[in-house]
Formats: sequence, C-alpha cells, structure tokens
Amino acid sequence: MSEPSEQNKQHTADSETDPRVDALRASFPQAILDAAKKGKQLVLKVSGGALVPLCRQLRDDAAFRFDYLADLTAVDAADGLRAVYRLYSITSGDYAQILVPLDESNPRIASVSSVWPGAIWQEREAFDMFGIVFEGHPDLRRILLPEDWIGHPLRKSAEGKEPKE
Amino acid sequence: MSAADLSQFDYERDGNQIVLNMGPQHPSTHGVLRLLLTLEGEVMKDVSPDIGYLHRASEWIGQHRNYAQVTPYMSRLDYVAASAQEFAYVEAVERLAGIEVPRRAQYARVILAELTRIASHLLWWATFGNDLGATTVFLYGFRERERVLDLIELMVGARLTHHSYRIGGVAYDVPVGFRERVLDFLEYLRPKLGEYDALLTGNKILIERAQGVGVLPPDQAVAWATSGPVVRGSGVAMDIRRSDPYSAYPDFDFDVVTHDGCDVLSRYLVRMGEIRQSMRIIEQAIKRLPSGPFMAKLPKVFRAPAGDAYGRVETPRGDFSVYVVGDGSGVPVRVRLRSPCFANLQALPVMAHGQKIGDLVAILGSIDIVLGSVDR
Amino acid sequence: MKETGARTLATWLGRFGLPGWAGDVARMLIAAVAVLVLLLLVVLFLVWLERKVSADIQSRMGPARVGGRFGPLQTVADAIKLLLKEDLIPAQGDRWLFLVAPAIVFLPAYMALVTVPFSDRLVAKDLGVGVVYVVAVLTLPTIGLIMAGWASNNKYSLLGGIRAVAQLVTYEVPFVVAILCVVIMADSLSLTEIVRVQSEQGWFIFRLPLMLAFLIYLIGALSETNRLPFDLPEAESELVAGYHTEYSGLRFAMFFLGEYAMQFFVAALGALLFLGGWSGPWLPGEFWFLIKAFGLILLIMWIRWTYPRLRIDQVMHFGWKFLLPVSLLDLVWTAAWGLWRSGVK
Repeated sequence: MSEPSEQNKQHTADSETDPRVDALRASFPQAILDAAKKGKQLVLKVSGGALVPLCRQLRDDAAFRFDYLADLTAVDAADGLRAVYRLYSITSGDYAQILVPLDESNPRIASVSSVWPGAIWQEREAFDMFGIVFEGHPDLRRILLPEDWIGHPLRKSAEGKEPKE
Repeated sequence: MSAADLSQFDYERDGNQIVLNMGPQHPSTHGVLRLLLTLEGEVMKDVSPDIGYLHRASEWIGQHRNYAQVTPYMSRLDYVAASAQEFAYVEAVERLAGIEVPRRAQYARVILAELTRIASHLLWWATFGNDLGATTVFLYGFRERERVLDLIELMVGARLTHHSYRIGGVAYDVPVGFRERVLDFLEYLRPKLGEYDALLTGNKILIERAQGVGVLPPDQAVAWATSGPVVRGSGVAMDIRRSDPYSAYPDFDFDVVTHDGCDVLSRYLVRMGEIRQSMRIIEQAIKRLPSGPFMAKLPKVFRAPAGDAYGRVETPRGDFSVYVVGDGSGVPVRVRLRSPCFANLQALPVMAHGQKIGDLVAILGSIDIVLGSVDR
Repeated sequence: MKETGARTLATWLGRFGLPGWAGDVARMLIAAVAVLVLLLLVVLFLVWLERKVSADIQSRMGPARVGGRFGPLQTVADAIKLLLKEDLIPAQGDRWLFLVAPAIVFLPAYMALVTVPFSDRLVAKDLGVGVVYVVAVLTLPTIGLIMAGWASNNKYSLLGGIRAVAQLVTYEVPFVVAILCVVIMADSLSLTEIVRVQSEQGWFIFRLPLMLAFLIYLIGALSETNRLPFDLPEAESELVAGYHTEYSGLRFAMFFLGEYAMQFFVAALGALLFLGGWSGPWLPGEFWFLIKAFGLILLIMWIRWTYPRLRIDQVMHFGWKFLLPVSLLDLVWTAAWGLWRSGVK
C-alpha cells in the first residue's frame, strides 16, 4: 500500500499490514517508532513528542474509535522505563497498546487527560509510583501515598526506600 | 465527542461555603475514603475524594514474589468479590505463558465468579438500602448473602478470600453434591428477589431518592473510563463477558443488562438485573459441567516467558484488568492492577456536582466502591 | 385524682398540723412524680420493644439474654452503661446551651403528658384548654435541637440542627390543623371532653374527614418525633449522628429518652384524639388507652423499619406543597361535615 520505508522494515514478525496504521504513520511520521498487530490488539511504540494529537486521532478517527482508556500505567523493566497505555473501542471491540519509552533520569511525558479525562487519576498514580511528570496535567500530586512520601516505590532503582522524615 | 470538563478544578471558594470533611471514618463511605465537600447550604459545589488510606502496595508485592505467591493477594483487593480479581490475574498469566486451562476448570471458575457476583451485588443492595435509611434491607441482603457464602465455602473452603483460582486451573474440584445445593439455592433466591423488588425497588421513596440523581451521560461515562454497572446504567452496553469473552463465557446464554436512565436508579436496576443473569449462567454451567481434570499440568517451578499480557475481566464492580510483564524468570517484572473502583470513583465529582448532600450517599452507593480495590 | 382525693389528703395531712393548701401541693407532687415514673418506665419498655420489633422484622432475635429469655432488662443495662460513660463537652462550643439542650428536648413530653387523661378518673391535671397547651408545649423540643446543633461546634451537628428546625416547623402546621379538625368535631379543647364525646358517639377515626386527619396527624407525628422517613436530623448514614453527634453518656441518654417520650406522647395523643382514648368494653379504661397508644407505637415502629428516608428538600416539598394544602382542605371539610350534621339535627 504505502512505500516501504526504513521503519516498515523494522516490523516484528507476527504483524500484519493494516491500512489504518499506514494512514496513522503518514500523519505522524516521527512519532510512531514501531507498529504491530497481535490479534485484536494494535501495538504502537511511540515517541513522546506527538502523543496527544496521536491519541486524539485514535479517539476521534472513525477507523479507530478508541473512546475508552482501558489502562494507563508505566513499566520499569530491564530495557528501560516506559509508559504503557491501553485503549479499547467500544464500537469495534479492538484494542490498542501504546508504549512510550521514557528518559529514566527525568521521565516526562504529555498528559492525555485532555483526550480522556479518565486519565487524570491514572496519571497521578503513575506519578506517585514512578515519578513520571505529566505535562499539562491539571492536578499532578500523589494519590495513594501520603503527600510527604519521598521516593517512587515502583521504580526498580528506588525499591523499598523508607521515606526520609 | 465532548472534551473533558476540566474547569471543575479551577474552583474557588467564597464566604458562603463551608468545607465539610466526610471520612475517612464515616458510616457511609464504604471503607476508608475521605471526601472533601464544599457545600453551599445543602448543595455540593465540589466533591474531592482523597484516597490511599487502604493502600497496601499490592503492585509492589507483585514485583517481589513469584507468580504463584502473588495470587492470594488478588483476593484481598476487592475483598467483597474476591474471586473476580483472581480470575483476571490467572487469565493474564495464562495468556502470557500460553497455558491451556481444562474445560472443567473453566466452568468451575465461571460458577465461582458468578456466585461471587451474586454475593457482591447482595452486599451492595444491603448497604445501599442501609445508606438510604431502609435498615431492614441491610439484614435481608446479608441473610441471602450468607447462603451464597455457604456455597462458596463448600466449594473453596473460605467465605471471603477465596484463593481457589490457581495458574492453570482451580485448586479444588467441584465438590460432591454441589450441583443439588446450587440448584436449591437458585430456587430459593428467585422468589426472594421478587419480594425485594416489592420492598425496595418499587418503593416511592427510593424512586424519589434515586431517579434523576447522580446523572452521568453516556459520553461522559465513557470519557471518564467508568465500567460495570455504572457505564451500563448510562446505556452503554459494555460487558467484557460479552464484548471480549474469556474463559467459558462464550458457552453460556445471558443478557447484558443496561438501562438508559444514567442515574442512581438505573444503576440499581442494572445490578438487580445482573443478579438474575448470574443465576442463569450458574444454572447452565452447573448443569453442563464437563468432566476431566481441573488443573493443567505445569512444571514444578513456574517461569513465565518474556513478554506481556492482559487479563481483563468483568467483576461485579466493572472492568478489572491485570497487566503482567514477564522476563523469563519466576518473578514478574510488573503486575499492574487496573481497578474499576478507582476509575469509577474518579467520576464521582461529575455525578455529584450541583446535587444535595443527601444525594451524595445515594450516588456513592450507586458507584459501589470497595476501598481495597481503589487503593490496592 | 380528683377533688375528693385532694380533700382526703388535706385532711390527713391536717393531722400533722399542716395548713389546707398542703394537701393540694402534696397531691400535685404525687401526681407529678407518678407521671414521671410512668414516663420513664414506658420509655424503658419502648426501647426494648423497638429492638424486639425491629429484630422480628429483620429475622433476628433482638435482646435475648439480659434478664431472661426475652431480655427485658436490656434497656436497664444500656442505661447503666450510658451513665458510666465519660461526659464529653466540646471545648469550643457554647457550654450553657450544650448542657441545657437535652433537658429542653426531654421535658416538654413530660409536661404534656401531665395533662393526658389515662381514663375518665385518672388525669394528673385536666386543663380546659388541653389541646392548646399540648400543641404549644410540643413546639419546645425544636429549640432544644437547634441549641444542641449549634452548641456542639460541629458542622455535622449544625446541619442536623438546621434540618431539624426546618422539618419540624414545616410539619407543625398540618399537624396542628389535623388536631384542629378533631377540636371542631368535638366542639371542645379539653382532652377529657374529646374522649368523652367519642365514648358516646364512636371513635373519630371512623368519620371520613377525620380519617384523613388521622393520616395527616400520623405523618406530622413521625416528623415531630424525627422518625423515619423523617429522621434526617439524625440521619446516621449521612451525618454520623446529626445534632447529637457530640453528646455522650447521660446527656445522650436524655436525648434518647426525650425521643421515646415524645413518641409515647404523640401515640397517646393520637389515641385520645382519634381512637376514643379510654373508651372500650369490659376492660378498665386505662387498659384500653394503653392498648391503643401502644398500637400506634407499633405502627410507627413498623413504618420506621420498612421505609428508606427522604431527602430534606423532598421533605420540605411534601410538607409545604402537599400536606399543608390537604390539611387545610380537610379542615374545611370537617367544618362542613359538622355543620351538615348539626343542620340535619
């Protein structure tokens, strides 16, 4: 369908070509690092830059209709810190998983709360647990841990730290 | 698609308003929840939930125990509907590791999940009635719930924290004589539900308290990622058992209960309808229970492959989703618990804005939160 | 106890060299104490009854240990427990108001009960304007409630107190109008006279306009006594305990007693006004009176354990926009009925 590019050649083995994804790539050439489709789930590896417009597209575009934010979290794995979003479309029943690699020393990413208000508390929790700063968030503060807690417990490098009083 | 109304956060207080602190100890907050209310007379201008009082670091524990050791913690999240959480977790791990669960175990899981749903909805009904002043409803609801807990105890050995879902199957087989006990119970419950409809559902005072209260339009419900009876009470037919079926649910015939009212009464009716649907599912499952093993063959030391997987389940409170990331070892890299109560509670200010303080209790009751699930 | 009793007492006391009026004073004191003792005993009984009735409705047993199989001494045990509790007074509240409020809630029921005829022979003090006195006295507890709400220095209590005042003021009017219907029918303000008319002409509740008045009276009574569906001032699940959140021990006990005393009183009054008071065949009048009063109490309890509660604005809406007009229409109807009947004669 589209011209093969450097990025297309980096597809994972079990992906299928999906015309919607190609259209998405065309709209956001720099943002999408990788795209694959596993069953009902579209997996996109995205760089943080154009996250909000990309999400808005995924929500509003008739081809996607990802109106429901199923999950918003982060993972601190051996290969780095990343934000993980899972979107669900009530109309089509499809899923999309968006992975955004983050800078471990200073994790910052745009807030998607303007796209799905359901993200507000989820982002607060990600901030609380991982220390990720969500730019543009209306009310970024700790949600589960006490306000004066020091540290972000789910980061592997900071595990089990006692709060310093 | 409407944008989020984030202007509610630009809120200013003037002299006419008092700030009332409700909780964390309060008869009606269903646990340790703190609500900061800004009141102008009886009208709520702002409701700000403050959570975290029951945070027990379950996700942190998920990174520090092996896969089997994490399972019991799942039942302690939403302790009212314990099996539902376990279901999500084992689904996720089994998907990650590519384990095939035997049919008999699938059916047993479904039966236990639906019994849990009935027990959970009965507890919700009891506390909802009690919050509105109908104390007798509280006693009746718990009386019926006792019977369900007896059945669960027969099956699993415990009433509250079940821990019978294991990776690869269920821990205990369906006991002898269980089928008769279950069918007797369903016979017993059917007329009782009719009685309770007469007692509370049709009651004019309840309708006054519940109709038009706590309205959440469907587009807002979806935008705020609510799920379960909250979203189905707003007319959106999202039930994971139907939309993204898991385990043995495709084998069963049941309706997805929705109501269009978008208010407290709608959610009430959805839950009452769901009890009946659960009874249908249980009846089908117990009658067609296949024979065979109830546990898959797994290596002694379980290691999940590298990768990630989701287990998404329809709990009595909504969409509970477990995201497991493995790295080939016996300890997960990440166990993410996406709680429906957490997401649904977020929509409370939207439902409560402009309503009276007397409505707050009804609205909170209609969302049906369990703080164990909100805080994890 | 009538004049003969007083004269006998005066004569007897005269033997000790006391002047004539000592007999009157003695008689009054004895009557006052008797009514108080009766009230306390009735209240103790009512608390136990409430627990047993609610238990029965809820498929439970209720008190079943203290003092035997039916737990009759449970209330006594609870009262002792309350008396032994630490007496907490909010430091920042208005101390004097805080201390006085429970008494103002409890005493009016007692004051009103003094004028209630238990039978044609047994009344502590029969007032010719009994109804007016009773209605006036019944408005007093409201003041106590708002005092408690304010003096506790607690937002929950204040909200409870405000709700109490709003609710009580609203329902006072139809309540009194319903009583007025009875007054019109009996052509007298005296409680004894009202009962006497019924013992001759049949219970008032069987007359159509008064059947409606009875319903209005009942609803007003539920509101006056803060019983469900009108228990917003103390709505447990919303305001912890409403106006009496900050009270403990003896003072809380007084609120509690006051509540049940009021309930007994409105039931007794209802029995007098609508159910013929002490009239009835072959049992002595006192028994009939108590049976009817307790019948109404059972009805009030039954309602309490069945219904959910209304929201405050719904309570106000119902009171002003529905109950008040209906009660006024009922008043006109009663008057017309009375006119028609006397016209026919």
